[in-house]
Amino acid sequence: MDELIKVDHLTFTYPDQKTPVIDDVNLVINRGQFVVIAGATGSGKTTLINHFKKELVPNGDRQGQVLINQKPISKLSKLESAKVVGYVAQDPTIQPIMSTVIDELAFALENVGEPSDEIERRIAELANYLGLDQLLHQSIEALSGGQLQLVNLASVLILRPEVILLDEPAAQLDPLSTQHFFEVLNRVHQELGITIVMTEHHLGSVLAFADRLILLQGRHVSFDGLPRVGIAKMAADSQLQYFVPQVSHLFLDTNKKLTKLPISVAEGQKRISDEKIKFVSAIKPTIPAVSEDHMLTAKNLTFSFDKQQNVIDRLDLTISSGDWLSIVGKNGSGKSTLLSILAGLRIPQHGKAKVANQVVWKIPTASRIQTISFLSQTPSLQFGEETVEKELMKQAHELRLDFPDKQAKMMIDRLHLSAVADQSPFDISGGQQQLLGVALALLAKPKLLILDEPTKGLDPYTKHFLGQILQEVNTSGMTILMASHDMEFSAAYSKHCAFMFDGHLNTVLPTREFFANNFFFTTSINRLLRVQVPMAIMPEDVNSVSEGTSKHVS
Amino acid sequence: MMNKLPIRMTFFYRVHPAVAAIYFLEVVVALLLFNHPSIAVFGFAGLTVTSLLYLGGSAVWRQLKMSLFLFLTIVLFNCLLNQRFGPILWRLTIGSLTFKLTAPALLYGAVMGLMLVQMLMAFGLLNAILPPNKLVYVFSAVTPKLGLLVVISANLVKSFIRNFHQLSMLQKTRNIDLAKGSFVVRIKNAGHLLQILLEDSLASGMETARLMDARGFGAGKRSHYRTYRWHMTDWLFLGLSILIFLGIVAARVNHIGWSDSVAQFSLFWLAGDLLGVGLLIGLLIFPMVAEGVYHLWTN
Repeated sequence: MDELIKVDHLTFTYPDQKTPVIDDVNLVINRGQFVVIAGATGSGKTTLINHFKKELVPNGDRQGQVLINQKPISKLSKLESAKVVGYVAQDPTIQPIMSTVIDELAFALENVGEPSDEIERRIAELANYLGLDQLLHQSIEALSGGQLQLVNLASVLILRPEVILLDEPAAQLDPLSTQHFFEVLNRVHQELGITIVMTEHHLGSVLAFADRLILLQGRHVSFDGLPRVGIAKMAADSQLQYFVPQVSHLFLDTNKKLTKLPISVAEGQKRISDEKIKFVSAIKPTIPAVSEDHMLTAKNLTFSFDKQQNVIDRLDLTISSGDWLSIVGKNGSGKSTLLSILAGLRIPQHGKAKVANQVVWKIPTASRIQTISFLSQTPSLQFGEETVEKELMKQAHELRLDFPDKQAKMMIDRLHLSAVADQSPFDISGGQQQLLGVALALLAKPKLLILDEPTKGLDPYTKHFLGQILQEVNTSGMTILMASHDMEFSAAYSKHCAFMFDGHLNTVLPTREFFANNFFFTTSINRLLRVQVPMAIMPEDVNSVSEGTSKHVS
Repeated sequence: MMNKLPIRMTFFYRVHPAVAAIYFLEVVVALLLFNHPSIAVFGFAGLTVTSLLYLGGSAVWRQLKMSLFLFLTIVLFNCLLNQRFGPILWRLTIGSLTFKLTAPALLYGAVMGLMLVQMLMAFGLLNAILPPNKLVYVFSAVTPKLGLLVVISANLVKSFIRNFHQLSMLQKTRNIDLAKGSFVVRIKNAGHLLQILLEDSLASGMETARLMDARGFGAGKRSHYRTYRWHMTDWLFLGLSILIFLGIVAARVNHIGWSDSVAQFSLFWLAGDLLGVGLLIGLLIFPMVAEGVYHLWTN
């Protein structure tokens, strides 16, 4: 095989930290491979992938080396580095420099000194290949998250690199944009032969395309091989079991060869069809415990940013006390705007939203934060203190809680933030910032908890942990309103769901009914089993029946 | 109200960036050459009409609303600081202090305010006709990195403003509300938010810079995708605008449209203003005239 990247006994420790984040890692990535690096938050995935790009190599104590095309990465010239290794970051908004798509695509080629006619030729070719030709003169600001991430990929691809590195590129995209992005990436790999190395938490969407999985655990590579075999290893681990794609989960204990373990819905369907596997419903009838009292009522809400187009258009909504309503929808459909209005942070041009008969944006701020808590999808914009601990203590004081310092410390323990309590909230990882945001929101013990993309950037284990905490507070009577791209999380925990479209909410339905009736915005289990068990949305909703026995497969 | 033309379809947008840059330079200098009330008022009218055509009514209205505060502030300070001349329009005495509202102070303040508003309008128009990619092209002739720096700065300012709105909204969840509390509390809160914003902007700016580096920025001499060919119409536009501009300079050299003392500001219309008004309006609406001629040439 043709060696492209070689990691030789790499150990790296960040400044001011005692233990290395990766320890004695050895890897060889060959030309043409599609490699997915997985691991829990803090396992060193981003640190490792950043070591493959000269300009992104972090500062700290390093032993060992990384070679690209048999050349130490530090010896690569800037021009070589740009032309050989491409990089796409997690946050789509952070990369663009220019104001229009065409100028953004030209930027990288201008940097490496390509002549104007060559730049035009490459833009024309690439824009048509990726279907960006209609967007070329669009302003970068006007693009959706999915379109923007495609432009970011294109602006790297236009340099015709040998390898593209991607750090959780779909973490901020809705499910359809995620699917589209990975399909494009697969085309780039299959049709152009470009090597892909990416870190990713949500393996269901991407592992079917990958030919190699690397698991990072406890600072080391704990698995390196075929994705299907790696999935079986993950299933046996107490933390990594949550990373296993739902479709694979369904087939894990059928005692078949692991190399044939299905990952995607299509592979699952083929397996069911080939082996004539029957699934029967194991759904336990449950009635969501929701009170008759209304926690929040919104009538005729209308909001526009530019007075040209309504983002929210005559929207009505009623949420009962103790409910957990999840709102799903595409990037840019107005979910976040709606939540900020219902939290009293924005005033709509028309309509009213009331909590306890008070118009939310008219409630004085100091009183409102005691009743309604809000977690933004960018929690760092809600921070402002020097340390995580001070952040919570300040909020506890603002809320006039009894024993504020003690309550802040209890919340730190509850959200597993003790290890970063003395660190700046701006320096901790995205997942930890998300947990701190939740901690700030929960401190008030609000009647209404509004969460905007609470699982963004969380690994599946932390997501499970957060789900348990939220379920606990919901069971104790707290009403939750959540916007999420995460179908599995919404399906697992919420009581009702609604779809945001064209400025209003489609009918609010009980969660199971909602996902069972959806075709695109649903769980992979529902997609897989909608013919046999139409109401199934999670692996535990079915039993497989084979050779005359009935067996629960989860 | 005039209808906005699709900006990319206009003749003005399609003139060579260097010609457009020279035109805006002429406009900015010309606006600074006159300080008579009549020229300021007619200049403002000319610039408003041109802006309406290229930016549209809502954008111009938004800009005027934002400029009104600046205009009033300048008028107020002029009235407060210029107390010496007459005629006096209104007088207020509190103890030993006497405030006199004089006609020259009011008129001079209004002219200064209008000049500033005109300048902002000219930059608003420049922003639409010369977007960052064209600015890079113009600046690149002098220094390529400066050109890119201009673009990055413009983007940073935009994201800074956007983030500030977002931050001030979200910090209400921490009981920090810029619209509530005493003046001192509001100033303190605004300072706190600015500090957070600066830290956040710095962090994301560093990340963006790293990603620029990752895409080869600084790897060698940059090339340019955009090449703009020079057409006969560019020569015509440039030549005629320079002729009008030279007329303006000549008028100013002959002391038309300029008064050295606030004391002379008691009349709206002064000798020779007609020539100044004509030339300045001619320069300001010149793109519209060129637009009309260009459209007349349509097959």
